[in-house]
Amino acid sequence: MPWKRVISVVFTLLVFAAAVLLVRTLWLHYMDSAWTRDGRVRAEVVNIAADVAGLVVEVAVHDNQTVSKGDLLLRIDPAHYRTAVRQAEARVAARQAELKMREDNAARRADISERVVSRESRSDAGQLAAAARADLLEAQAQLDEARLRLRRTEVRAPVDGYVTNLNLFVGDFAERGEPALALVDRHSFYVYGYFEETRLPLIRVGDKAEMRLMSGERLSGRVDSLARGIYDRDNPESRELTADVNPTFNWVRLAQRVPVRIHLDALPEGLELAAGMTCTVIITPPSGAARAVPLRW
Amino acid sequence: MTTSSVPALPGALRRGLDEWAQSEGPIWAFIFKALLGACVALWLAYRLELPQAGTVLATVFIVMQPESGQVLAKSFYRILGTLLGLAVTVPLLALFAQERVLFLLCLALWIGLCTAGAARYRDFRGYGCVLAGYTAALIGLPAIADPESAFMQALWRVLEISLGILCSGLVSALILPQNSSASLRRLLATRFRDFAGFAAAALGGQLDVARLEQLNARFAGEAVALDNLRNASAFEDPYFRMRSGRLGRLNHEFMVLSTRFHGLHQLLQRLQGEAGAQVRAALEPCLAGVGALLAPLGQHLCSEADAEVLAQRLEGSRCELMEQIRAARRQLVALHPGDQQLLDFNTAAEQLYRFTGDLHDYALTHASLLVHRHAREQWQDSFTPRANGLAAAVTGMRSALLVLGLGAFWIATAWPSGGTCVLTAAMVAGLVAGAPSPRQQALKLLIGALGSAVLGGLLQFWVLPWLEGFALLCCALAPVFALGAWLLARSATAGYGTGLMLWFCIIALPANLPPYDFQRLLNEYLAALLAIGLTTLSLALILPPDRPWLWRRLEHDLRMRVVFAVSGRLKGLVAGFESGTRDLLTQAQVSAVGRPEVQRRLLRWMFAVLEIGQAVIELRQEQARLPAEPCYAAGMPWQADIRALGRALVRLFIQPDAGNRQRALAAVEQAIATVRQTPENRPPQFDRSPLRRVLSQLHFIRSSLLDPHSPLAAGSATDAP
Amino acid sequence: MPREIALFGVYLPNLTLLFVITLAVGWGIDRLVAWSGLYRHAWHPTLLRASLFTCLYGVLMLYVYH
Repeated sequence: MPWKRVISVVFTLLVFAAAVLLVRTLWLHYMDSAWTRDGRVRAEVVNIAADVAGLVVEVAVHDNQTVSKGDLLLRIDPAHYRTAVRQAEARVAARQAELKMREDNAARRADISERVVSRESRSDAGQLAAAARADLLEAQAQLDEARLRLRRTEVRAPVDGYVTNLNLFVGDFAERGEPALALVDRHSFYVYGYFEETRLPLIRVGDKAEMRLMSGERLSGRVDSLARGIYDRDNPESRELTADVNPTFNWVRLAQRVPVRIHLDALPEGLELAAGMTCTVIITPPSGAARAVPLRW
Repeated sequence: MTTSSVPALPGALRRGLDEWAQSEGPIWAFIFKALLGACVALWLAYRLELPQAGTVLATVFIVMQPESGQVLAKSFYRILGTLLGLAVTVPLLALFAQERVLFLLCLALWIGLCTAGAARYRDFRGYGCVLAGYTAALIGLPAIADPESAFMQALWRVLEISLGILCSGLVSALILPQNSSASLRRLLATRFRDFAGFAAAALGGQLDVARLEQLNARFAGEAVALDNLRNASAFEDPYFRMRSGRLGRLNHEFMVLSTRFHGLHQLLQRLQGEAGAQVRAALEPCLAGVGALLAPLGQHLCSEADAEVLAQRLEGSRCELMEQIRAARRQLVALHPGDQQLLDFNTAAEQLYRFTGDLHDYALTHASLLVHRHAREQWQDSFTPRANGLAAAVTGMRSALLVLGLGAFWIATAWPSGGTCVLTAAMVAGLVAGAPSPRQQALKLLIGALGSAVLGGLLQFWVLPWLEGFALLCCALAPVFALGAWLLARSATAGYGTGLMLWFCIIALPANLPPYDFQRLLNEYLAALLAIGLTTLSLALILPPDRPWLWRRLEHDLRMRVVFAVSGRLKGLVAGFESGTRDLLTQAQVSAVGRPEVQRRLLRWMFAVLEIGQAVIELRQEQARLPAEPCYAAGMPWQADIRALGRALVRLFIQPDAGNRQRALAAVEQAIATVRQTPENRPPQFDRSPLRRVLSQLHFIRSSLLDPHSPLAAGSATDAP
Repeated sequence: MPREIALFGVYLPNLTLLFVITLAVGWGIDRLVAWSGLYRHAWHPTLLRASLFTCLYGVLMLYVYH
């Protein structure tokens, strides 16, 4: 009977030990490996604004359209700017005529004997011609400016990408510098993985990263860089340049999350990414073996 | 257990330690477990960044019970209740997100419904109802203020509740487990011991009506408790789970057995005068034989092996008993007794014989617990709790009105702590609905909550600011938790403990980043105390449950059990009748605590109902299995007379007055006369002749109707116009 | 196998879903073992039951994560 009891105790304890071991392995797997559920796909987003103000006469793209660098996005009414070019051209012509007159005058004075024309008069005529030349240059610059504005009535895509949030339509008045649509740079997609600070020692720049999207697709990439600063949420504001420290502290300390930027390798065929998608990020060192966990307790 | 391994201890000290471990040990073990469970749950709640650590701990303390099986059963029903509450609230939120008045109305209705359910069932199902209402309030009320995040909040609450259940369930089942199965065994054994002792004495001739009543009232309560224990231990112990059907059957058979014995006892009691003495003298040897069989079992707790021995001995002695009865009848016939005397003898002898049959069944079922799988496990009839529908409806209506009233006040005044107030009212309504005495329970909760306000204030503003780190926090909270657990461990003080722990956890427990906000604490506690106070008041003012109206309703319900026996479906009728009647009596006894004369009257009614109900059911069973012979045909006059008797009994028990009693008596006399005149070509012995058995049952009904001590006689005396 | 699954638009860690599945499977195994009467020979049946369940869950999780 005692033997039976001993065996039953030992058996129960063995199963218990196995359970403890499994839970420990699982814990290490879950808590002490470099992965996070909190990953976001991000991209560089260009805010497109018109360089000149005016009525919109043409919107050459529709929302969510793919565009290449240099494609026409929208056209501002060029009439004002054409007139401005003609004005500037007229002013150049006038200045040219005036320069001609002044130069002729100066040449004439120079040819006439010193006894007939005073030295002063001759010198003045030379200066006036120089001033007229400068005026002409100014008018030419204004003409260039007017032509540039005319060219800029056509807003073109600065990068390859996707039009989003198109918020401007024919007939709208576009203010100068006011964003009218966003252009997501097609080549700039990257992933921000928000890793708990306890896992940061497991991550190095250049490590391989695997991303799993919510829809199930997988992406690969490598660690590009680690953020070197996050906002301190517990001490939200500091006035007059002194620290505003919370007088209480958590009973149980919680790890902060630090963003890790991941550069994406070539995307799989047919996969359309959108900035803001959620993904799981799993990071492995290039060797494949996990890094040693620093001793925490 | 720990002391037995130390042989060197002096005897006195060891005995003292053993005694301590027996009496105080479980309480200390419970306090330790509660502390451990609470600390683990708190740490996990902080670590997992749950928004309300208080909900987790409140769950831990609601679920924590000294016995592990109770904890598991409660947890199971708590999860079910929570999910049900979630399932109801989320659609309500989706429907009435903008209309808070309509939403509050629906919520109040739902809470009222759940409270009524809790009052109706009073077992673990009732607990599930409480939780369904509580969860609805917990999720729905904050959502009124902030409908956008309602769904996420609802999910968080469910997660928090699940975490609390997980912690308390694991801790209480794994560490120093206190098995419900042990108390189940103890209850079974002591109940049978007391019964056997009393039965042996009564069969030996010492009839004691007062003790019989007292014992039967106790048995009725224990039948209800046993069914709960059976449920709980099925959750905890696979050993008992495999025996669950047999335990239910055992409980049922004990109820049948005690009803039968009561009937026998009454018959013997009614054998008065010279004629009665003759019958009693004739029966004497038969009674003594059965009494001798039972006598040893009254001395000690009956184990399964004892039951097996008893079953074997009964097997043999039943044939002997039959012979004894026949011999006794021959003796009696030699004295030339009257018809009545012979009928009395036959009826009593048959009751005795049936009593040994029931006893045999009980012993067989008890003995069958020894094996894992047994044919007796097949048992379909379950314990059917009965409650007064009106009382449950009143309870539900009261809580719905309270929630509605407080909610309206909250909306009208835009009181910041109004949510806590309504939530507390909903919680208290559910918590006290299943309690024996709701008003006292509410008062206990109020005092407990008051204590928690004092302790919470002291702790938050004098102790916690000095502390840093989770270990010190646990040390500071431990005294409060220990006090709460100590109160929870005894059923008399459990109300104070619940009040203390619930509101301490919900209001005063610091968040992970503790906000020391005195105003908030004060407001919340004021709201909670106000709500509990108002609930207590409403319990005292709006149709309070311990008043004559409820006693009258319960008495009526008890009497209606006879109507059920006459007209209910025959399948499962015995189980439904026996368990339901006892459940009703238990409620009646509890609601009339402090009024012994009311308790006695209700007890008497139960006896009258049980006696006549059992006889009626057995008559109906007899009718159902009659052989196909012309004299047993449904159209025979005796069958018609029995149907007439059924109708007369229904009338009598719906309105017990002298006229109806006379009519019922006339009907039973008529039936007896017709049965006697019906020719039957079988020997006139009760094991062969169905009509003979029918006659005994009819005679039993008549003697019960004639009994001057019966409430039927008293009722007809006082209610007579 | 993915570490997360989307369930009606809610992004759940696989842990939770597997827990529910293990609960169902574990309950079945528990019934089976109880039916065979093995728990009667255990020293602390509840501990054994809990440990067995944990082992089942752990093995399943490790399998999924590898």
